[in-house]
Amino acid sequence: MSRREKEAADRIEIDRLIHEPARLLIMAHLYVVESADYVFLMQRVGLTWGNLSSHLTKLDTAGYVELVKEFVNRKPHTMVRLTAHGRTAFNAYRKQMRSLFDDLPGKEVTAGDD
Amino acid sequence: MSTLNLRTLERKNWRLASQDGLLDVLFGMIFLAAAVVAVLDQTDLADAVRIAVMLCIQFGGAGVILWIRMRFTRPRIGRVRYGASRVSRVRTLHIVLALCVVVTVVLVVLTSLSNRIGAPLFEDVTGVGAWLVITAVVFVPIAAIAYVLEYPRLLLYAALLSAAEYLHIVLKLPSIVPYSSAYAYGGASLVALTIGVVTYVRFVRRYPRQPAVPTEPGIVMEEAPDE
Repeated sequence: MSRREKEAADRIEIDRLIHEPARLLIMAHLYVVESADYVFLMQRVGLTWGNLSSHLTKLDTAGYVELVKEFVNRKPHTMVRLTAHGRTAFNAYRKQMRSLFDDLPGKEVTAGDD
Repeated sequence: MSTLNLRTLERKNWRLASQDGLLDVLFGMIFLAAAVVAVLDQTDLADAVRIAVMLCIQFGGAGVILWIRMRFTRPRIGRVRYGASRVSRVRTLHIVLALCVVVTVVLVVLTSLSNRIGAPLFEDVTGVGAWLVITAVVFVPIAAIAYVLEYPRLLLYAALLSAAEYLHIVLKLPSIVPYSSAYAYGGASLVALTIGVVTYVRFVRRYPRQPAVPTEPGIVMEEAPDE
């Protein structure tokens, strides 16, 4: 990304961690449920285990999700859930995106209209 | 490309857990049990034997379905805990089902007592009265399950079972046409089982079993200590 693009992105203050499509889907799925396991997320988001794990690690590092370890039938089992911080960040992202598009003019503007 | 709508996403996640077709199979088993009992009604078997056969088919079927769900469905779709509103709706469903059981028990006790004292309560109940009773003990519980699980097909089974109950109990059709109730319940069972099996086969094809996943990369968890 060029310096100018980065400056432009910084100006609209979009949470880049959530903005990535796969992570956005993961966050959206976790937002509407209380918690889900890896298999459920893999099925719903359509990622391989490796990709999902990589994205969840980033979200976990940012404190957006937490991995809750449980035992099901004496076997270890990990559930993923959105933290309060992650929920707030997702809501803020929704508001940012909505306000960004709401600020656009109602009439479609094409190049050369001005 | 699909749009991202949180409400739709939540609904799809909710429906995924219950739409593997096994609920249709369960209703098929309930109808099948009723059909078998309707056949046994035409014999001289004791009531206890008939009830035992019915419970065996229903609870046996429910057990097999639970086992299939744990063994084959869950590894395909994973585990999920739903939000507070869904949990609250399920709790309301439990209350409605409990009320329906209470109404049914009260009706059975009243019928039994009234028969003993020689003034049968439901001897000549037909028309609106019969429909009210059948609606309360048959249609409402199934319709409540359909509403909470967002599973409209259950309304078809509620209607089929209500109609079969009406033919069997109110019109007393078996005394006019032998095995008529067995045909009614058997037909409903065939419909539900066919829909259930076809849905389950589609579900299995659509959601292949996921390879075993480690719980977390690089971390080996210890076994749970014995309690």
